[in-house]
Amino acid sequence: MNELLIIIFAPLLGGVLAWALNVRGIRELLGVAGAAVPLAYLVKLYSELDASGQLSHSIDFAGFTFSFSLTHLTWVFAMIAGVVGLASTIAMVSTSRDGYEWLFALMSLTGAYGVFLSFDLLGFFIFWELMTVGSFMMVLKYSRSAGLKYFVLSVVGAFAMFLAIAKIYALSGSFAFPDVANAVYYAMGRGDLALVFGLFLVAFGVKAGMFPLHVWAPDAYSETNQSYTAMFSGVLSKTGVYGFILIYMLIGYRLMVEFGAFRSAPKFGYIIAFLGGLTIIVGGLLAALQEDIRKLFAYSSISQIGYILVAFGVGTSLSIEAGIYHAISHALFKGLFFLIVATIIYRTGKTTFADMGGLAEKMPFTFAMAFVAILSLAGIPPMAGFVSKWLIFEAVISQNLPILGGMVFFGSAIGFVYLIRFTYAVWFGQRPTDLDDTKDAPLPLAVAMAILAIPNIVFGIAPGLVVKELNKIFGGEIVTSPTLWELNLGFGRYNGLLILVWLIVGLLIAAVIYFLGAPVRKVPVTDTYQSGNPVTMEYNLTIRRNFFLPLKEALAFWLRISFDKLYRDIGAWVEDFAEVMRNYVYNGNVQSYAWYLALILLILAMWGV
Amino acid sequence: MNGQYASLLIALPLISAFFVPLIKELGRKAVMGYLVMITALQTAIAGWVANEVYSTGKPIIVIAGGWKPPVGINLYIGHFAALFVLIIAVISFFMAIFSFRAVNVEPVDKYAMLFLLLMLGATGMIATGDIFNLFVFMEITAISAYALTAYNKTGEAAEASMKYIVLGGIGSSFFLIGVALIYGATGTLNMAHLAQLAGAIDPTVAQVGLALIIFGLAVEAELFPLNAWAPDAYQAAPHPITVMFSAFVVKAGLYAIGRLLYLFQGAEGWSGLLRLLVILATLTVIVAELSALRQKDAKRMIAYSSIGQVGMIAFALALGTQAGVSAGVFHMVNHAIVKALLFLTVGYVGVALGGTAIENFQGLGKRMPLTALTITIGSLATVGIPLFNIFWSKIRILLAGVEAGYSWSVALILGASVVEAVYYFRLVHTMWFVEGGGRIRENFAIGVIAIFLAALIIVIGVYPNDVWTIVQKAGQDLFNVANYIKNVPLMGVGA
Amino acid sequence: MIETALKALFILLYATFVGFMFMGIIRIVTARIHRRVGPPIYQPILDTIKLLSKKSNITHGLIYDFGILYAVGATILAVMFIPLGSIGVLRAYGDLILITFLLEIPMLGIMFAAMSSGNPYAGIGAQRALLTLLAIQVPLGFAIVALAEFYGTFSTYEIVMAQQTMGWSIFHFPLLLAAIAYDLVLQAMFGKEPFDIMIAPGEISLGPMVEFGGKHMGLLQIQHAIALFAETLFFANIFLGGGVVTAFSSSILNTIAGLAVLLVKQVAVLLIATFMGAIFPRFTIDQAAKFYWKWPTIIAALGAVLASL
Repeated sequence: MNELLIIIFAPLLGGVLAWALNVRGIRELLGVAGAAVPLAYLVKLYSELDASGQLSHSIDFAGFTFSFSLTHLTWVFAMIAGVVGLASTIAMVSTSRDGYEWLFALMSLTGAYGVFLSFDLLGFFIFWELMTVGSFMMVLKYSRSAGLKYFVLSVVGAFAMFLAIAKIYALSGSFAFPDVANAVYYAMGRGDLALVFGLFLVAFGVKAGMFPLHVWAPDAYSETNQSYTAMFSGVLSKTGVYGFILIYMLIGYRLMVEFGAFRSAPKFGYIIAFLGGLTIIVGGLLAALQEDIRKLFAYSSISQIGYILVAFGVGTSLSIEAGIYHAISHALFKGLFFLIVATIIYRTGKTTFADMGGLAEKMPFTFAMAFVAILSLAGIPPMAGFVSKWLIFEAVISQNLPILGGMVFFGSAIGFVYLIRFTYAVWFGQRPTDLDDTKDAPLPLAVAMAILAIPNIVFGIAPGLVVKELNKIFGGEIVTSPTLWELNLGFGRYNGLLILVWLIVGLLIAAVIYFLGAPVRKVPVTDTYQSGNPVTMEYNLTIRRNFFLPLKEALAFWLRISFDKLYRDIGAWVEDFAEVMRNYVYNGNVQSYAWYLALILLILAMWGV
Repeated sequence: MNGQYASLLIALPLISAFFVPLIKELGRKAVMGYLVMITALQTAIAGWVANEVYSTGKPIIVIAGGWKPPVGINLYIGHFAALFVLIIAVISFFMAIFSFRAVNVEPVDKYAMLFLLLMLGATGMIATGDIFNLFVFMEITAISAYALTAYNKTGEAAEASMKYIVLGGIGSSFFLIGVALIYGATGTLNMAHLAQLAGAIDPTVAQVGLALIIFGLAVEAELFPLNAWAPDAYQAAPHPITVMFSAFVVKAGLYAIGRLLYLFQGAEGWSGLLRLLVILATLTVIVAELSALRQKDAKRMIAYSSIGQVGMIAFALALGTQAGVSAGVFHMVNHAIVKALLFLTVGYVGVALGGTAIENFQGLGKRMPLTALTITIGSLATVGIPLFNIFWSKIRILLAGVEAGYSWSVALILGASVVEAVYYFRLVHTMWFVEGGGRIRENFAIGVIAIFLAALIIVIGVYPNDVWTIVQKAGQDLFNVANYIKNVPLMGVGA
Repeated sequence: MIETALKALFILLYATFVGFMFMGIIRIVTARIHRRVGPPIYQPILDTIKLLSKKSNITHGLIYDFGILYAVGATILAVMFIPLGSIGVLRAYGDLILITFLLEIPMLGIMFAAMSSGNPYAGIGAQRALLTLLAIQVPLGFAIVALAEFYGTFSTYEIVMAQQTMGWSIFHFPLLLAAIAYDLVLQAMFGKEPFDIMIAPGEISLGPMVEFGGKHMGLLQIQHAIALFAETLFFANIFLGGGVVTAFSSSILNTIAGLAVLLVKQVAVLLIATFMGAIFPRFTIDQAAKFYWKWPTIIAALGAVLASL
């Protein structure tokens, strides 16, 4: 069997077997193997890919030809799926208790691999659907309304994509990417082109969680197994991101020719970028106002994806490379965050900030992991999150796009804001007494977190590792990387190692001063300055609820505008309409039914018969 | 073996239906056993016929009494008919088994007779090569269907049957007028001969005649707004009969529409009629899916869904392209399997738990895991999830739709599919994630049938290649009229 | 290697010393405006020495200690990237974005330490500091964008060099707007009135700082001094032409003159901030946010748009 097919179907096979056997121990083994096999193959195929530039395979199936292709681009995305998928499944060993979850989690992983490796639109669509269904089933188990909201929006997206695909197919008679790109370039009309772009925008926007199509994500990300959410947010949302690259690959040139550019960004790209910018702001602000740990990270995930969209929208090689870099670091730190959330929930059984606190002492390992993730997401040098954000900043601003530049700046601050809220409420302050015997992460979760934490650090200090691969996608030195540690854009430079070294120097200097001082005495959390009042554990003085109340008040006007509510209203309206319509049409009166016959006869007569 | 044995497909159910009164004295079990036996036999014959047709690649033409068409009446069992006669037989066989459990109302001998006649009618509609004969078989089907709808002897059943009779009656009379018109213009009732002459008919007559025929058939084929009888009838009829309605009775009507439509493709005004049909089909899908959204009764919900799916088939058939017809036939096959499974299992739940209201499905995953699993598979398949059979036919229909230039229609159908997904997943959620009552023992035979159908759904879904080849041939049979004419040995009359 | 180390050591000592002087200047100037005498200029140094030599220190755990070290370390890191006249250790990598981030992250360390103490005042202080950060980020971002787009580079050093030929940034209209916005932002970065709600000594007992004492506070004083130096230096570099002097033949003289020029500019920036701080009363946090999201943002955005044309 072809290796590409093994990569795609190994998770599904593992999942089906795990579900069918459903024996504790074997189930987990099969599941993890299902996620590990593709990763092993991807690593194995790397040298082959490097030599040939592209590995392809195609099969005829069901009267269609399906092609799969491993290119440098798809390899990078597949590796995201591989690493995060593996970490996520390992974590599921701790948190998942039945075969159902293994089946659908791995099914969605298969879908994601399929989406990345497909080289024709039909295969892309089929795996897209498979992925959607798998993830939907994971959500449905926990919440019907969250699941249905996710599914309806996803399906609307998927059907929009399908319509676009059908349009293209009607034009080109083929699904294969090269044929499609050709047909679109030479034969597609202006109106159809705009339509196809709009449909793709909706399709990929939903999956990526682009404003204003993001409303499913907070519910869906939180109402499922949090170990799985690591994959959900880390990998599945990347398929949407990958879709935006696909827009460039398939219809980008033609769009550029047809609709021109705004400044140096293509006009269609500017739409993507602008929506991405709004996504950053909206997602970030809402993240800061959440009271549930899972929702905070769900919104944060949306916000971070916004960066990627901004980068892709700008449309230069540099910005797209920056976007892919951020996709990688987003998968790493966001996957890590959700595993941390999974650990916290697994150990405490609580999800709201109000019930937590002071866990840093009880879960030092998890806290260390959280520290890495926080630094990376907040964009603190030298972490992977900083490098990718830095690239995006430079790529956007160097193209003279000031508004987008302002948006990304705002995003980095709002990242700080919600992360500190998380840090404060969960790890510090007085600990509720019922959390006194909380244990640290179980082994599988710890391993899974470590898998994701290490690249977060490595890819920040040695960005050359990543950039080398990303440059291959474009076949040129988009970002020069003279050494492993250094990036050079011509108008900006970054050196991860130098930053690390000097940070250590700075820390050492501080440490010297610190240790020259008198020794310290450890005091409990109750021994703090309290305007003269003694602090006792009977009153929990840590602010956990409504931490950013002033922000909420400042934004009160904007918070009233809710797209979620709009969609719900539309849904309710459709249901009511359906009911009214049914009552009138199928009213149970045989006389009116007979009238329908007469009516149709009349129409037939008017038709010119 | 001689191809003429294929006439047994008609003869067997007809004759055995007349024998039912003889064995009625032996009791309910015997009657039901007899039913199973006959349908099994029918299945065997249909299997043999299908094998014959597909292995030789030639249709079997049965000529009655040695009179060559167009003077004599002939049966035309081509790729399409062979396939669907087999489906009819298999489904009937399964339903005969299901009837053991599901039908307890007396008089079962009448039930058995009507059951056989229903099967006969549908088989005849699909197999016949004569347009008047088609009318006759349609009447047989319809009348047995009216009776079976009312079989449960409840007030609702009677009312549903009444509606069905009124609408069906009007429909078939218009059909008959259309046939008469066409006959007056061409002097022939043989379908192959009609096709030959189609181009030469006076355009007005052809248009009016064809329009009336299609209009008449649309009642049977459940096109909006002529399908108002369907939800009531589906719900009121005994569970096995509902399966048969959905799986093949409506398909026979659809087939007739498709067959006659393409026979007359030479006639003027043909494309206008197609457009009208596309509009009606699209409306059928939308209205049906929306109506299903808030149903409190699972059986009725699935009935609406079935109408929606049928609308999609009609849409495919009305596209007027080879791709559309093949996709439509594919969908017919898939829909027959899936809806058979769904109505069977939902009906079984109705029998076991005393009703098909959605509340009865709460916690079904724990109470009747096998049934719940198969319902889930059926639901997922209907929604069009990849790896299930309907996915393939659905995308083929929609692709063909866009190719034929009906993007707006496809968009609307896709919108309706979203609605469909919502109510099916609500059902799935109710079954698996809502707490329900205690465990119930499941019937073995019905379980086997359900698993067989579910397995079929998945097998076709995972490996559609073979079925696709078969339905392509069947689709060609329908679309390629020149071939159809060539295959029928017409006496040189009028041509 | 040795040279780099020496330069770094010099920068560190110079920054710390000048930073403490700045702190002294602020206190004196404020006192004079209040018609007080004020402490001697070296008072902050004495304070810090006193704090560092306390005999008893308390801690609330590892994060409490590490957060402080991290803040100091990150500030030292930041100052290394900013060109100091002709002296520079890492100025080749002195990217605008990087420095902007580096100037913000010491706060993260302080917050971690403060919050780990569990003191509610620290929590509320952290909240206000973050919201202030959020508020200033928009105009700050636009100002940086305006600079980068105007000069077509992100390198602080190159921007300084470009100003030697093109004239100071503030003499170009778009960048003047950016500079005004940035100066308003600096007010909050210094933690001066009217944007000092995060420490608000009277109401929340210095907010994040409430729990620190002894050598922790001493380290924070050092951090504050260096940060003050770094922030004014950054402003002087990007908007006021930096401190490049080539008038003398001796490079040492040039360097010293450059430092002197820079010092004047830095003090000017500092004085503006001090005056403003002395005049205005304190804003509440939502007032501050609304203020920053209105005028400075508009000014800076206008500057950025004009610069990009």
